Amino acid sequence: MADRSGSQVVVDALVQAGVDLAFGYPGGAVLPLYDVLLGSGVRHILTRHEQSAIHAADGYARSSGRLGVCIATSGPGATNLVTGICTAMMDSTPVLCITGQVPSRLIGTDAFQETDVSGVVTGITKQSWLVRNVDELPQVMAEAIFIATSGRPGPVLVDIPKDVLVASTGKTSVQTTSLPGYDPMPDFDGNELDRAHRLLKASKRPVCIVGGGCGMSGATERFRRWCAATQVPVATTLMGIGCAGPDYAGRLGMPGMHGLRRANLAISDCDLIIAMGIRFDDRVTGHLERFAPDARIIHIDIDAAEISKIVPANVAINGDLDAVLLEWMLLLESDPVEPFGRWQREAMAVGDGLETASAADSGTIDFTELLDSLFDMIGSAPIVATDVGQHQMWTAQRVRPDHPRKFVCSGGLGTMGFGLPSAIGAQFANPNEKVLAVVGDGGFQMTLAELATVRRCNLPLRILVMDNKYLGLVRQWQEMFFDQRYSAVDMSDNPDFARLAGVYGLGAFTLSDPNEVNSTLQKWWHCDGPALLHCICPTQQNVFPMVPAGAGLGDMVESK
Amino acid sequence: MMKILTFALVLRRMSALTNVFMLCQRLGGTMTYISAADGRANIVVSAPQRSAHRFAPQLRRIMDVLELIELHAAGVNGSVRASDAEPVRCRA
Repeated sequence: MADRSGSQVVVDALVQAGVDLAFGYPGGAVLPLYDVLLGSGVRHILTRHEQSAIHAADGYARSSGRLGVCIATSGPGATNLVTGICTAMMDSTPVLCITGQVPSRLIGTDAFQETDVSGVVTGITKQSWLVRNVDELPQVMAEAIFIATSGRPGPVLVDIPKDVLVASTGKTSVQTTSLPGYDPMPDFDGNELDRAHRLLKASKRPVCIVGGGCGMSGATERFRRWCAATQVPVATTLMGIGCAGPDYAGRLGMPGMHGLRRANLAISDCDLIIAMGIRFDDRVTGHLERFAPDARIIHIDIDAAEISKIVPANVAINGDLDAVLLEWMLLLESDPVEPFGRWQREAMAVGDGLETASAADSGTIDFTELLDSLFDMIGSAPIVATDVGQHQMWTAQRVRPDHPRKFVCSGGLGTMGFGLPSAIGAQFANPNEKVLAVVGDGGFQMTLAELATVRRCNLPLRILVMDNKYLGLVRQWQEMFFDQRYSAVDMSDNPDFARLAGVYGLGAFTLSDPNEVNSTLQKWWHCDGPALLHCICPTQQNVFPMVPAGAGLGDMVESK
Repeated sequence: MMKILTFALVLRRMSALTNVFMLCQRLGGTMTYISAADGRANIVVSAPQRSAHRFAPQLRRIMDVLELIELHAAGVNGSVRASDAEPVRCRA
């Protein structure tokens, strides 16, 4: 093969890895790569901001399981990726970031648009590189793709000086499937699984908490078979929503700060926690001393650093969840457990706690009721992406996706502005699926310029803007814990989002009359092309149940 | 309460030491000793007792850390590998 430029090496590596789409925003240092992208097998989607590019790549990866790719230039282009990189890191999403860098001879001179981005992202990537020699680029690209997508996935960044993008190399693209010192698929200890099985058999009130690791492992179907065989009640963390089938009788729902009553009480009352692919986030556990006080802990995770990081495990299984469940199912066949149907019914009978949560004034739209109507109408099939805030929690409490890849939101980092661009990415990854973005008025305004991307690409997105003219979740905390001293949360001067969507060329609807909820939802959902629904909501509605910070899961507040 | 942790590391690249330093600092540790050359490093960290168990697994997670051995004092004549030591993670 003739010598290839650095830019061609990058594109070759992407194509070889099956990448056919990248999101990005060009600039001076990355121009050689953009030149090669023209006419290549990699389609480029121009977003209106680099942060949106990485959120879109993230949404693409979460909803498909494939590698998300984003490209940015040096300096501000690269630093605009940082929030998105951290978002992907916290939620373990495979995202490859490629950034241009100033020419090698200028590195270290504080040149125009020079930033040490590989240094900046050291703590928030699985790995980052600054490539100084074009001959190293094929190997670095192969390693980057392998590291991002293997084991516990995560973001990686490859920073390439402009002269390296232009320089030629005779080295060809390679594929990497192993790296020294890196064990992405650890062999778990079968004896630990035997111990876990014995603990399950001895348990009277087990609860499974399943997280994002289940969907990422591709273990969803096997997990559902495990549930059917054991009938253990299942709580699904924000990242694990969709793992238990929507019709599973023991689906407790989301636990934690805004978790459902039955999930939080079952965890508080259980004698065994089976934690699958979760990292015991503080939003899930509440006060640690009061978390499942009578329970033994089985923790299954592919990342050894997660096991016993927060909650000490009695049985630690460090392995890929799908592989562990495969073995566990064999154990269940040879040595069945008495199904926990009775305990499951008891746990479910406690109720979800949502029935008392509605606090909307009469004559106004209760957003929770609107969501109930919407999800009744659209069922489990569409992909639902949310931003961050009250609308996210209300959605997470109610959404019933039939697969974990059909619920997309920023969990660990809680990144406002994530909703719309991640929905764009999800739509690109799933062109034949219906994709819904549920956003609040605060987060939406952080990335709303992407309405232009929606229009340009004619994505048939459905965007639901919950406009309560406040940063609602912050306002709720100020109401409950700061004596109703509302500081910097007022958004009463929000624009007319429907008119704004119209200006961008989207179909636009406004909903302010509670008597028109169903008819407007129908019109909006079934119209052609992209469409936004601006829903004007009461300002004072709160998310319940709520576990106050520092309280135990059993200490929920369920209404004002 | 602080706990003294001693690690011997094998590194793919010496630049990985940056990640090691940053992680130790983030976990609340203070580096009290370091010697490093030719892809090997020995470090001693004064770590908060409550987070001491997080150092070894998270250091191992750094991509360019090829090998990490946690050394425990075992009397005057030697040391034992971390894997041989009493696990710190189990509760009754």
